[in-house]
Amino acid sequence: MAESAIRERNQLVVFALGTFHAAGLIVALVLALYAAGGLAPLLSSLSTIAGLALFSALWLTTVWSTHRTLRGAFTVAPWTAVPLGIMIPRAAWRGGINGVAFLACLGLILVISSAFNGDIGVVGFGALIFATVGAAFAFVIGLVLGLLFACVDLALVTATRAIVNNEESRP
Amino acid sequence: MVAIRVPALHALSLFVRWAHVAGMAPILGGALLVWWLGVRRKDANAGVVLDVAERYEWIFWAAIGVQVMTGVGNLGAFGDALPASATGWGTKLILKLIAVLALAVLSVPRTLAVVAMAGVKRPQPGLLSVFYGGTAIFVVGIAGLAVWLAHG
Repeated sequence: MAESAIRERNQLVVFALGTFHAAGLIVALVLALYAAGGLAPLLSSLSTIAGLALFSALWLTTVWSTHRTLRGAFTVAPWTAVPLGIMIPRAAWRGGINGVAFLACLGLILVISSAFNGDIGVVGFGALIFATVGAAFAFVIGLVLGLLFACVDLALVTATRAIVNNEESRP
Repeated sequence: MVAIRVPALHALSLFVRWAHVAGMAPILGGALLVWWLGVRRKDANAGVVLDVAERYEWIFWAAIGVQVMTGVGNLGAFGDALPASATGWGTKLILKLIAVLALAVLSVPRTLAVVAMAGVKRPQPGLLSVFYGGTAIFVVGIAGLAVWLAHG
């Protein structure tokens, strides 16, 4: 009973952080693109179904990636029990893997979308680029984002610890 | 063919819009419920408040994911007719996006604190009330911005 409750709480932390990373990234990107005037052309080139599928894929791979990053990092509270020297490189590595996993999903969604439009020949050439140069780029971008979100998460964990401990120490 | 496709796309667009509005209900309603349970702590068992808060956190994060997904879908429905960021509407949209980002960032400590309190079985009703009251106020602000945006 106690073990399943702890497991459920750990899953909540993984789900919350994974969703925060995916949602935060998309909102920040939309904000930056909109301010720069690049959002309308991008959105008009993307169908609603493809857009929903892309976000779902990013959400899924990011929660999975967060799960892999945080394995063994829990005690009773979500304060990390793993040294930072291990957590930070692990978060960066998992971010890179997430980038490649998302690229694979993106490729799959584009293949399905193109198959419906009858452009399957173009997709064959695109897949080759995706699998080579694209994967390397996706890994590097994912790695940088993984590192960035690890720093944000650590700052938020530190802030939470301070808030909870401060409240506990009050008479 | 076109006659069949257009109503289908319109229905999807309407569904996305409905999901975006409906997703706001559990976010705001749940925060108000936990806040209310917390402030009447003389009557409510603090452990029960924490249990409800834990359930709420699952719903909150699922709803945030849906809000972002459907929010981008709503913007996509504008296509090339999306107003520029320099317009009044664009400024309101930028404000709303910043507020949503801030809500996500500020909600992480709330979730972590709830999990920490549940882990050590030491609820802090005062802190829970502050967290959920703050969340409710923030969400009401975002809903206000959304209504302002929807009416031009």
